[in-house]
Amino acid sequence: MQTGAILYLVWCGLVVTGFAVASSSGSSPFATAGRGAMHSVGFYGPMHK
Amino acid sequence: MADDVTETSFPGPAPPSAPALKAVTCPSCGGSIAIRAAGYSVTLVCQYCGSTLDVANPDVRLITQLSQAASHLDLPLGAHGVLQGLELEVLGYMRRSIAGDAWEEYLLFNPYEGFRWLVRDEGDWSLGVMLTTLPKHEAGSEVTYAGRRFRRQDAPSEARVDYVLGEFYWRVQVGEKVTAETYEGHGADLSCERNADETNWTLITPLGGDVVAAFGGRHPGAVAGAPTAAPSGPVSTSGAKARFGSAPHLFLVGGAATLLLFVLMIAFSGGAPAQTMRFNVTPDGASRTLTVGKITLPRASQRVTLTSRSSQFENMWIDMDYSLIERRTQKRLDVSGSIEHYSGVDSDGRWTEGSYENRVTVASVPKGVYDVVVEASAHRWSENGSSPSTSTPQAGWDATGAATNDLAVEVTSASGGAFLGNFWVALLLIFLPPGVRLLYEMRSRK
Repeated sequence: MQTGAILYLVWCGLVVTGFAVASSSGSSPFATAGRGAMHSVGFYGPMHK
Repeated sequence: MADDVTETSFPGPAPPSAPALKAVTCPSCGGSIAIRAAGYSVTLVCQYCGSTLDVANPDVRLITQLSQAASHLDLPLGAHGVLQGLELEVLGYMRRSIAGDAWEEYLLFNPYEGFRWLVRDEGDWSLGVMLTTLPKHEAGSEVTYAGRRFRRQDAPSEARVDYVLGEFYWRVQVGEKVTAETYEGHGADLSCERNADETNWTLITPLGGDVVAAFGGRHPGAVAGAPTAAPSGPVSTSGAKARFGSAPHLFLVGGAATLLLFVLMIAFSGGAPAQTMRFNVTPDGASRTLTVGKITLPRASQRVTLTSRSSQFENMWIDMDYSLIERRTQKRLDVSGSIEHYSGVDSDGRWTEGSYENRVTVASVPKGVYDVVVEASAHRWSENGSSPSTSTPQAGWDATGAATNDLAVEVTSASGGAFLGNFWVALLLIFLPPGVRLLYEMRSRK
């Protein structure tokens, strides 16, 4: 089998495993809060005016 | 070597009669050069000084004088080796390119079987056999040859000779150009090269094993003075593909990986049923604190989602400060959100902003039993900071609606669920390599 194809399969395996585990543990930088979350500065009020 | 190279079932060119070996003296440098296919070769590039000689006539003539140091090839000119059970001698060497993407070609010769091309593209070797019968054009971009179907993979491109050494059966020179296109089949390619005078078809099959060693050559290296090897050209992209796989194949693998990830994310993101609680909060009144639900997290860590909804108000916001308090340890996790909705009329007409729903997600909440406590407070929006009248709207702002009464707020707490952002990032990582490969292939085809 081709070296590149094997490397790509390994890469896909790592990505799938990593994100499946992250999903299982509920980890994400896109969360509002919690471990690894990217917190944003709170702001109240309309942006319109 | 013999294990890796199998006899092809395709017919090759008609074998010529055995040629004579002849030695000539280079008019440029005085070096003694052997013509290995005398009678067939018309051009010889001196292996010592690089000058191009006309050897078609008995009196060897200097075509192009080129002063350069002697070059050493990975497969030396005159070296003998066995490929596919056929003993072949290295006659000539060319480096060719398409738009800067270069590959190497060695012209091989067997006195009874004729010429062969040994192509090296990105370090992978393949053997080319010139066809004596034309492939048959089928519908679309396909041709058939010897009962096998080949599909065109590249648009016609201009291939240029960048470097040449040794002897050839035509008057080859640096700068010579042909229009080349490649047809891909299972386990072999067909290369078609055209110029104003002729069209040549070559069947190219990948070779495994140590080709250099088979010819007693040296590892590694390229020809001194020749351009540096670069990625594939269309004469044979099998080499690159043999190592990296074609973009469609990689996309197929990526698609399968995406599907698997999708299934796993759904399978692993399960949680407890959602709990909903409703309560009222008074605008510009005291804040309310109450426990709105209980969440049990059985796994080591899990996602928690808190969604709050309200309606029937304008130009107000409701602060929602949540706390997840673990019953046993009393550790708390605080997170805040807000429901806000604004509307009015300005010189551009009517506008609205905000949402009657707010969702906050808490990542990696540790295992435990949690009380969900919320502190809610509603506020009217005012441009100058003072509390606006409930009956008379501010200029340019809508009335606060039913804000004179308490606002109904609904809070839903749930565990589990997958982050869509994670999925998009995974998708990007999965399809980045085939995307790069596709761009590379498209660039090579230009």
